[in-house]
Amino acid sequence: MSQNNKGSRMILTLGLIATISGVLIVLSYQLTLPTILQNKARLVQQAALEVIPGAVSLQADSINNLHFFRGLDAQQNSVGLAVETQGQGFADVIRVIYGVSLDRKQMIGFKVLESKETPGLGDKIEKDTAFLQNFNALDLTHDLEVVKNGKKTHAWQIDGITGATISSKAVGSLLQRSIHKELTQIPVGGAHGK
Amino acid sequence: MANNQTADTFLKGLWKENPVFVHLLGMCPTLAVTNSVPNAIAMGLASTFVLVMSSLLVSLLRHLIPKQVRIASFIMIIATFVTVAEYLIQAVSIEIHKSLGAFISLIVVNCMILGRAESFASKHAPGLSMLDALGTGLGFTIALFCMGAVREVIGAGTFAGIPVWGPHYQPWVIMILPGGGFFVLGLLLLLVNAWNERMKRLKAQEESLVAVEDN
Repeated sequence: MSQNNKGSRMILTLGLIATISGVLIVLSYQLTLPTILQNKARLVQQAALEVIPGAVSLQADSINNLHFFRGLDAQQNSVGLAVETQGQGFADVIRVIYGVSLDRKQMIGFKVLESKETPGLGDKIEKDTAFLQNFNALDLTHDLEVVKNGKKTHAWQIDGITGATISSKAVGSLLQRSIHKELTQIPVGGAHGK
Repeated sequence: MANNQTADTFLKGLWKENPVFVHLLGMCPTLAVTNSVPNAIAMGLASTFVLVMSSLLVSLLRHLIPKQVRIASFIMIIATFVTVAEYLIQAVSIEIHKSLGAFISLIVVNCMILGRAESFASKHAPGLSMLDALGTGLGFTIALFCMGAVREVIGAGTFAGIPVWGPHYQPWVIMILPGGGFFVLGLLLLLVNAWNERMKRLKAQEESLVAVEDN
């Protein structure tokens, strides 16, 4: 009988704390959501400018619910596109943005927006300069292929990161999928906002 | 007397019972995110926020929580405030959130927070618990700041992004890498312990002199 009392006290206490926790978390989530969304949008815009070399301003556009950016130079001419996409990585979803040349034949820039890959291993996809260089002139006319580090021979191949094979391959497949499913929806050609 | 106790509760966390240099708690963030001054301060402040809020809530609920589930309750409370802190950090500076990365979530397992909850907050009034938490958190932040300052100035040549040495400085990059973290921590621990030993010796000398005088 006192056992039951003890048990129910434990359950009640844990339940109470869980309720308080729930309220606190939901409150802080709702209160900070607008600011966080603004901050994230700002980061995406900054990244879009980075992945389109030569762009000084952006023009947001969308087609069939797919949002993308045109990078514009000082004369308001389009110098490339930036598309945001995401895919499953080793740990969690990886969100990236990549820049594409006007003729869609080359990827000209790449940046990881959000990733929860293993620190020290998978998170190299964000900072490893050798890995990031893969995307400065990646040939898109052929299927992308992630190869072992140092074995890159063709312009459509991506040198993977030693010790981060799964993360590297994840980046390769999410880019491949995006190029074939999302990029193809955006009509080619487009200076002056067309 | 009561005032002394209150002041002592706050002050002990800063030096005498500094969580990093004396208790050696929270080593993971101490080594991982002190590669620059802004990161170090942000982590210190975030941990202090979690520490103060969890200590407050634990202390308020201390008579309600049965002994058998106290660890589970403490962890739930700490995890809640870490989640809140994560949203706050994202709202204030999403850049800091990116550079701290996974280590914000790891504040949950920072032994310093669970340690203070178990040893102090669960046994004292909310006001005193918050003071203790504030002192410990500030001590933690100061320790992280010292680490961050040394590592960034030597390892990157900058202090909070501002170049310190001039254009010809060759940064000692290892200081920003994990190895450097261990070096700097070891050196700081050496200094802190050497200082404390010296103080103890001087105090002992003083006391033996007084004893001789009395005699």
